[in-house]
Amino acid sequence: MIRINLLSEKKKKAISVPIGGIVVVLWVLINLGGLYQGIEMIAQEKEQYIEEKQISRLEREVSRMKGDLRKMRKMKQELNNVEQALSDYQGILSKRMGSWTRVLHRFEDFVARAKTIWLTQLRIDPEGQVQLNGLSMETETNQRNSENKKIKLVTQGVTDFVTILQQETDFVRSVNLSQVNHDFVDKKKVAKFDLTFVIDRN
Amino acid sequence: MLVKLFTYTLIMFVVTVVTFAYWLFNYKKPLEEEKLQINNKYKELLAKKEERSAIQAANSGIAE
Repeated sequence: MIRINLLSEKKKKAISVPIGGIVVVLWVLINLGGLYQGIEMIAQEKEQYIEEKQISRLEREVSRMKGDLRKMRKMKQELNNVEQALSDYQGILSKRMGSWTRVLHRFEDFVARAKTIWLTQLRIDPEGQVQLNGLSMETETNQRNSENKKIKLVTQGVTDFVTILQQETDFVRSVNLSQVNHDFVDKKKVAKFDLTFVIDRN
Repeated sequence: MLVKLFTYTLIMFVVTVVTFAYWLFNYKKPLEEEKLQINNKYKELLAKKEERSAIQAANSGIAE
């Protein structure tokens, strides 16, 4: 009797360990670790370099100086402006720039001191002969009336003005009040006057 | 077997080269460039500092 075993006998297969693959994977992991270290090293190196150069300290110093410099430039600009103005004034006041400015400055001073007069016309000829027309407004005098009140006069300003001119002996001579008329301007009493005198423009 | 060994070795070599190249071109080279820039900035800041110090010294009389 022949017996045939129809059931196939299972063969035990040997499990193959992919050593090569494992080694490659490990190698890749090692490489990745190395890459991470490399990146860290680069970052450290960069920080160290910046620290070594003291960039942030320099930046702080420069920015602080920038503020100081801006202030200084502003001050310098102001100083230049003042110097320019001074030089302009000196130029105006110097004789070389023309003596008319000085003359007009003197006139301005006289009128300011007389307080109540207005100049309406001023003529100065090359020889220094001055013809001046003006108005004098009412002002209190030191004189008192019977009621012990200060007297108001329109000619007081003219008197003061003439006195002022006569006191300026270095600049004005031959003061002559040629005419004084009483008049009204805007319903107010005024005295119109004409003056002639000679000025020394030197 | 020998071919397998060679293949694995080649793969490992390629992986190493690729990793190194990646690090070199993405980190090392930019660092060198950055160092150069930092150096230039350092020189520029130093020059500015010196210039401003000189101006301050020259103008110190004005502030007074």
